[in-house]
Amino acid sequence: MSNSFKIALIVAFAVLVPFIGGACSCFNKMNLSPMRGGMSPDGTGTMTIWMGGVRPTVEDESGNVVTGSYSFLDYHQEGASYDMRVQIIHSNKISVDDVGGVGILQFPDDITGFAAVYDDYMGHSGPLEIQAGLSTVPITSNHALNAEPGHQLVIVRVPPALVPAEGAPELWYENTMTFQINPVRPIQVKAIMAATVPTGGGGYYYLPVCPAVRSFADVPPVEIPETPPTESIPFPRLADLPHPGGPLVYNLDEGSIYALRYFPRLDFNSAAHTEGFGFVNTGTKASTVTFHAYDVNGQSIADSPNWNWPAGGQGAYQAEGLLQLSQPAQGWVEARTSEYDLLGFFLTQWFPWGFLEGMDGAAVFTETMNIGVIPRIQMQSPYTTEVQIVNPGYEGMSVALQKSYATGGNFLGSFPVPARGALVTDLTAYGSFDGALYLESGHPFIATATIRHGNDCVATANAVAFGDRAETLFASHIVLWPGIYSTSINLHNGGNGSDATAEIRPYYANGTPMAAPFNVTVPRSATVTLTDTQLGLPDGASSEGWLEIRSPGKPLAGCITFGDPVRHLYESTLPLQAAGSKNFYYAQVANGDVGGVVYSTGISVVNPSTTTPVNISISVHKSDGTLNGNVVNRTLAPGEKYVRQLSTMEGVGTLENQASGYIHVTAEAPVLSFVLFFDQQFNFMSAVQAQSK
Amino acid sequence: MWPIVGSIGGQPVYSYGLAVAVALGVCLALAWGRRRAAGLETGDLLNFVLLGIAALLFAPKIWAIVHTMDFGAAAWLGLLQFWRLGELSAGVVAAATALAWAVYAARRRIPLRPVLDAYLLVVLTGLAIQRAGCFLAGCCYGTPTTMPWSVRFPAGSPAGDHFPGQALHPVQLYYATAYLLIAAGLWGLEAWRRRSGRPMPPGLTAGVGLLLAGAAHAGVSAFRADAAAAPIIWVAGLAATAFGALLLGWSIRGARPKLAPAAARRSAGQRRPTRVTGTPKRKSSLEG
Repeated sequence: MSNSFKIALIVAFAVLVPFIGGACSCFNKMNLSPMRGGMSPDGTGTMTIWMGGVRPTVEDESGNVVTGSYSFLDYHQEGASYDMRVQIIHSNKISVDDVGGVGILQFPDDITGFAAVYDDYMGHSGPLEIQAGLSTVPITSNHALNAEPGHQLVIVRVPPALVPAEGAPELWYENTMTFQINPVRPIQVKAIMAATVPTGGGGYYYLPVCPAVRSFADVPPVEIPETPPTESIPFPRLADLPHPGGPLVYNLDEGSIYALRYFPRLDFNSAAHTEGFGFVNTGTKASTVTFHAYDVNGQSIADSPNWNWPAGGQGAYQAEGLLQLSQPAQGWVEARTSEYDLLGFFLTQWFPWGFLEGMDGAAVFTETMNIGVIPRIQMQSPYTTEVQIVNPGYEGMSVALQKSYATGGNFLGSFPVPARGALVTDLTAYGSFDGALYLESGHPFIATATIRHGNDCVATANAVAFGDRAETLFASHIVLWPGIYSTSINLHNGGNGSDATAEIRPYYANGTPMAAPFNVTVPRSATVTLTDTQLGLPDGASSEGWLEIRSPGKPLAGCITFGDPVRHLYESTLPLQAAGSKNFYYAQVANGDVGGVVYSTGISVVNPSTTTPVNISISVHKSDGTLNGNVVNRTLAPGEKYVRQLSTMEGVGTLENQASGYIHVTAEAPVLSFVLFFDQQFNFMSAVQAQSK
Repeated sequence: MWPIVGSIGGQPVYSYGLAVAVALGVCLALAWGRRRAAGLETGDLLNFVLLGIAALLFAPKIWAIVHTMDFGAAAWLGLLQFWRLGELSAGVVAAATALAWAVYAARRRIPLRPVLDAYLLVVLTGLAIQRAGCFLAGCCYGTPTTMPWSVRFPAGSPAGDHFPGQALHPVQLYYATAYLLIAAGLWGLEAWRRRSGRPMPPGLTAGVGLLLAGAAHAGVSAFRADAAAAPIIWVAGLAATAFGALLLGWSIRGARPKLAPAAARRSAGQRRPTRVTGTPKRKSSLEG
C-alpha cells in the first residue's frame, strides 16, 4: 500500500467522522442521537428514537391466565426503566406465544405516507409494518383506545426479531418513522407500547403496557418541530410516565381493566381479632373497588359488592363489613380497583377480651417479590410471631425460608404454598429465635408477620423486597422515655456474602448530632437489634431525634419498632426508609374524641439535608377529601425534625374530630416522615407508613 | 453547547466529529515533524494512524459480537459498514489501539520507547481537542455543582437530558486543560534536557507523561457523573498510571550505570568485555 493511498484513507476518515461522530464514545447510545425529528421543506417529516427492551418475563401461564412483566429501558438514565406487571385473563386459553407487541402512535389526522425502519447499527435492520388512519383500537370488549379529536392512530408492529431471547440482555434499536405533512408545521405526537392478544375473530386486543393508560389524554406529548429532521427533541422520561402503581389486569372475558392491591392478611374472628382495610384515592376520578378473599388453600371465601371510592376520598372498613363475613375466616384479600391512584393500608386489631388490646398496620402490597425479608421476627417468650406468605399467582409454588438471628442464619426448609393460597406458620417447629426471616421463591409472593407480646399488644411487619435494600437507611423518629417509650431497630444483612459495617449517625430534632457516629457490625446473613442507648439515645434521659444508617457497598434491610418497654401496652413496627419523598400520603388519621375513644395522631417530618432548608406543607383531610383545619406551611432547617401531634401543629387551627381521613405532605425537596396514631389510654399505637404515588 | 454545527446535503455535521477530525489533523502535523525523533519512516507513521482508525471503527463491533454472543452473519456484515460507528467504548478502543501498535512495532522491530517518547505529547494534544468536542456535544459530563465556573448544558444534549437545567462540573474542559498542561510540561522537559546536553533515557518522557496523564484522568473522573456506573473510566486512568510507572522504572533502570562488581559478573558466567578494536574501551569509574 503506497503512502499516498494511506494518506487518502486518513483524509477520507477525517472527512467522514464529522458526520458520524455525534458524541463521545462514553455515551455510545447517544452518538446516533437519542431522539430527533423535524420537517424538511418538501413536506417530509421524520421522527427517530432509540428504544431498548427485554423479553417479557412470564410468571404464570395456567388455565386462562397469563401473567408477565414488561420492562422498558430509558436512554436518559442508566438503569432507569418502566416496569409493568400485566395479567391477561382470556378463556380462549391463549399462550404467551400469542402475545405480540406494537407501538400505537397518535398523529394529526391529515398526515399521510407513513413508513418506518429499524436499525441496531450492528447489522440488524429492516422495515416495520405500519397500519395508519385508525380512529380507535379495542383494549377489551368494553374499553377502547381512541384517537383524540383531529388525530389518527398509527400502529407500528414490533417484528419478532426485535425481541431478545429469554434471559438475553436488552436489545437497542433505532426506529425511524417518516411521513408526509402539508402544510409543514410543528406537530405533537403521542405513543403507547401495547401487547396484542388475538380476539379469536381475526382481530386483536391492544393492551397498553407503557404507559399503562386507557386514554391518549393521559400520555405526555412529544413535539416535533418545524426544523431540519436532525433536531434533537425532548422526550419524556420513563419515570415521568403515568403508572398504575401496581399490577394491572386485562380481563378479556369480562372486558374489564383493573389494578391489583394485595392485603396479605385476613384473620377474622368476631370474638378476638380482625383486620381493617382502607384506601385513599389520590386521583381525580372515582374508583370502583371490589375485595376478594381467599383462604389458605386458595379457595374463594367471599367477594365483596362494588365499593365506591370518590376522587380525593378515604375510607377504612373492617374486613367482615367489606366482605360481609359472618364466620371466622383466615387467608388474604385481593382488591381490584378500576382507577390506579389508590394507596392502601391494613390494620390488624387484637381484642381477645372484647376490648382493643393492640392494633398495628402496614401498607398494602402493590408489587410482589421473589426474594424478600421480613425484618422483624420475635419469638422469645412471651412474644409470638405469626408469618403469612401469600401466593397471589395461579400456579402452586414453594418458598424457601431461612431464619436470621444475631450471629448468622440457618436454612429452615422449602415449603409449598397453594395457588392463590397462603402459608401460615408461627415458626415454633423450627426453634425460637429473634431476628428476621429471609424468603425466596421462583414465583412471586407477598408476606407479612404479626408479632404479639402475649395478649398485650400487636405489631405488624411486612416483607421488604430484596431490591429495596439500601446502603443508606433512615429512621425519621427515635425516642427514649425511660420506662415509658422505647425504640429499637433491626438491621438485616442478607445477600452481601460477608459481614457489613453499619455506621450509625443519631441526630437531635434540631439537627445537631446526638452522639459521634459509631459502627455496628452486622454479620453475614444475620440480623442485629439495637435498642435505645445502642442507637445513641442518652442513657436515663428523655430525648428524641432521628437516625441515619450508612453501610457503603452492603445494602441492608431493616425496621424500627416503638413500644412500651415495661407494660407492653403498645408496640408498632414499620420499615426503615431508604429515601425521602416530595409528595406523599398517610392513608389513615384518627384524632379527637370519636365514640368515646380519644385518638391522637402524631406526625414527624425530617429534612435529611445537611446544607439546605426545605419548605413543607402538611394538610389533614377528612374521609370525603375536604380539608380539616388549615394547611400548615413550615421551613425545616438542615437536619431539623418537625414532630407534633396534629392538633398542636402551628397554624392548623381547630381540627374536627375524625376516626378516618388522610394526611398529605408535600415538600420542595425529599423529606423523611411517618405518622403514629394512638388512643390516650395507650391501649394501642399504630404507625402509618408514608406512601407515594 | 453546540452539538451540531450545521448540515451538508441534509446530513448533520457534529461538533464532536469535527473536533476528532481537527485533532487528527493537528496530531498528524505534529507527528510528521517529530518522526525523526521517533525513528519512524513515513510509512510506519501512517500505518500507526491507520491502525488507530481501524481500532475505532472495528474494535467496538467485534467487542459487541463477543459480548452479546451474537455470531450471526448480520453482525459480521455490520463490521463492513465502516460509515457507522458501533457501540463505542473508550476503553475498548484504547486497548485495541495499544495492542495493534504493540504487535505492529514488534513485527517491524520498531523500539517502542522512542516512539512513545516522541508521540505521547502529540496524543495528549489530540485528546485535549477531542475533549473540547465532548464539551460541545455535552457528553462525558460532570456532576452537579455550585462552583462559579459550572456550566448548564442545553436540553437535547446527554448532559442536559440527564440534569435538566442544572449546573455541572465542566469535566470535559478539566480533562482538556490537564492534557494540555502535561503535554506542555513534557515539551518543556524535553527542551530543557536537550539544551542542557543531558539526553533523555528512552521511555522517560513517556513514563512521566503516562503517569501524570493517568493520574489526572482518574482524578478528573471523580467529578464525572457516570464514573460510578462505568468503572472502566477509572480503570483506564489507573491502568495508564500503572503502565507509566512501569515505563518510568524501566527507563531509569536502563539508564542507571552498572553497579555490580566484575567478580560478581564473572561468577554469573559473564565474561570481561573483550577489546574488539584497536581503541581502548573507556571504563566507567564505577565499574569493577
